[in-house]
Amino acid sequence: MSTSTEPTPVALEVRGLCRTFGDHKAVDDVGFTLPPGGSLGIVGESGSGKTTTARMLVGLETPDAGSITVDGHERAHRPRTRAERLARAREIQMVFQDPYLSLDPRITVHDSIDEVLRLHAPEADRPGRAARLAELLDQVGLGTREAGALPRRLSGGQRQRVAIARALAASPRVLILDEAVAALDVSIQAQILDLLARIRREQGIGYLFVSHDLAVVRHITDDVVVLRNGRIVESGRTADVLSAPQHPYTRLLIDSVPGVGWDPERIAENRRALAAPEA
Amino acid sequence: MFDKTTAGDTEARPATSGTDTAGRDVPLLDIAGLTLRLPDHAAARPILDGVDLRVDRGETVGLVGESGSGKSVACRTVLGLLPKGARAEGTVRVEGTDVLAMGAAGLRDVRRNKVAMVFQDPRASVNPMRRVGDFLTEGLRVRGVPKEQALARAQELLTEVGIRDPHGALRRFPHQFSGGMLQRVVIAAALSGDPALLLADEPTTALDVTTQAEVVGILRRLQHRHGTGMLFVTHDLELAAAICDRIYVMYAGRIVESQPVADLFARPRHPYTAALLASTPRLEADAAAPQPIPGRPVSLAEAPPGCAFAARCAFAIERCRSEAPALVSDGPAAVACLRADEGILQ
Repeated sequence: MSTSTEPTPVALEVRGLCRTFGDHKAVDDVGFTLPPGGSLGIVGESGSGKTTTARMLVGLETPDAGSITVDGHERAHRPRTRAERLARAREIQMVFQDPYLSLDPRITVHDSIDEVLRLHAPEADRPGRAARLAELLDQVGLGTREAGALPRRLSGGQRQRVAIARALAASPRVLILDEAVAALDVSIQAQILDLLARIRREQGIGYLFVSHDLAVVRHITDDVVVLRNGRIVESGRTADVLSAPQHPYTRLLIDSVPGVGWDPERIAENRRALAAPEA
Repeated sequence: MFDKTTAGDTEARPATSGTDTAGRDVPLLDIAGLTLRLPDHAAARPILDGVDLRVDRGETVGLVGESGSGKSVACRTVLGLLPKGARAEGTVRVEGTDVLAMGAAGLRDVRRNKVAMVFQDPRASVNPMRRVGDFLTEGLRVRGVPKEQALARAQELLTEVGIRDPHGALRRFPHQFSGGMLQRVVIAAALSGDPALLLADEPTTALDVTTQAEVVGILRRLQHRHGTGMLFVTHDLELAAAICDRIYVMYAGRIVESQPVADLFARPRHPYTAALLASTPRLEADAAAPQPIPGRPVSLAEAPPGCAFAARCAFAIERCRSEAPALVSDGPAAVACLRADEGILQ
C-alpha cells in the first residue's frame, strides 16, 4: 500500500492540529509523529482533547487547521470518493472504549468481521475470506463458538477482542486504541495488553494509545505526549517522561496514581496550585 | 448524635466513639454468613455465598473484586437493598440490629440516620430536574430540620467538600457541575445525616485521576473528622491499598481473603489475590509487565463444585476442583484456599 518513492521512517505525522467547538479550543496546535510499528501514548484527562484528536485522525471529526498524513497521504480534508474512504480506512482503524456499544447487537461475530473483509478485500473469494477470518479470530484468541455468537453472549473482554479483530481485518497501518482497556477488569485488561503487544510485534502495526492510565501507558507505549486543555505540555520517550517528568502537570498526573505513599491532600494542593494561574 | 437539633453541628466527633450509642461492644457493621440466592432459573450459584465482613467505627475497609464478584450486591444489602427475587440467609447487623429482619420503619431509620451510600455515577444519583440545594436539604427536611437551618447546613457541607461559592451552588442544577464536582455534592448529601457508616461503591471510578485523588482526600478528611466507618467497594487494589485499613477480596460471591492492607500486599495468601496484584500494571520504572490471569471470571450460569478460582489458578490440584475451601482465620488474616498452608505463593 505504501507506494511513495523513498522509504518513509514515519507512518503517521500530525502537525498543527486545531479544532474549536464554539469558543472552546478543544485541540490547539497538536503535533506528533509515529514511526512504522511504533507505539505512542496520548495521555490526558477528560477535556484534554485526546479523544477529539483521535476522532480527527480517523476522520470522525474535521480539523479546523493542521495536517494528518499516513505514509505521506494527506487526510485532514474529507474523503471525496468511496475508494478514497476505503483507502483511508486501511490507513487508520480505531478501537473504542466501550465494547458494549461498539458492536452491532444483531450481527454475529463472524459476520461483523466478514463484513470488513468483504469491504476491504473484495477480490477474495469465500474460502479466501474464511481463511483470513480464521486467522484473525486466532490472533485475538477467539474460538469458533464465539464466532457464531451475538455480542450479547460475550463478556467485555471477548467483545474487545472482536473489536480488535474487526480493526485488524482492514490491515491498517495504524491502530488507534481509545481507552480500549479502560472498561475491562484488571485480569482481563492484562490479557488484552498482552494480545496487543504480540500483534504489534508480529505485524508491525503502529499504535496510538489514547489513555488516562499512566501505568497502562508505561507498559504499552514507546513514546508519549501529555495533553492538557488541548495543548501538548510534554512529550518524549515514555520511560523518560514517567521517571523524570519536566512539566508540573505531568508530575501531578504521576503523583495521582494511587499506590504506596499516596497523599491525596498533597495532590489536591498541587492541583489547585496548577489551576490557580488560569482561574 | 442523631439528635435532630445537632444537625447543623460540625464539631469533631472522636474517631473511635463506640461509647455514645446503644451497641457499645458490637461492631458498626457485622455481616455474618450472608448468602443470597436468585430464583433457580436466573443463576446456577448463589450471588453471595457465606460472606462474613466487619467494619468498626472510624475504620476504612476495602471490598475488592472484579465485575460480577458480588461486591456491589454485598454492599447494597447493608441498606436492605436486595436484587429482585433474591432469598437471603445470614445476618447483616448495623450497630447490632439485623437489617434483613427489619420492617419498613426500621429500614427507613437505618437509611435516614445510620448508613449513607455514595455510588459510582454521580449523575445517576441526583434528580437532574431539581436544584442542588433541594437535593442537599431533602434529607435534612425529612428529619424535621427547618428550611433555613437546612439551607445553612447544606452550604456548610458544600464548603466542607470544597465547592467554591457554596451559596451560588445551591441554586444551580446538576448539569452545571462537572462529574468530580457533582460527586462532591453527592458526598455532601451522604454526610448530611451524620451517618455512622458510609458505603462507597466505586465512588471515584468515573472520575479523572487527579479528581479521584481530591475526592478521596475529601472522603478521608470528613471520615476522620466525623469518625465515620467506611466500606469502600472497588475493583482497584492500588486505590484500596492507598486508603483502607483492611481489605476483603471477593471472587464469585465468596470472600477468598482478608488481611490488613500492608500484609495483603506484602504477603497475599490466596492465589487469586496474588494473581490480581500481578495483573495490575504498575508505574514504577522497574515494574514487571502485567501478568494476565488466564480464562475469565465465573459467570452466574456456572457453579463449579470446588474452589471457584481453580480453573484459572496456577496452583490448583485435583482436590481444588472438587472441594470448596472454607474461609479459615489466622490472627488478623483469613483465607479460603486448600493449599494456603503449603507456602505455594513463596
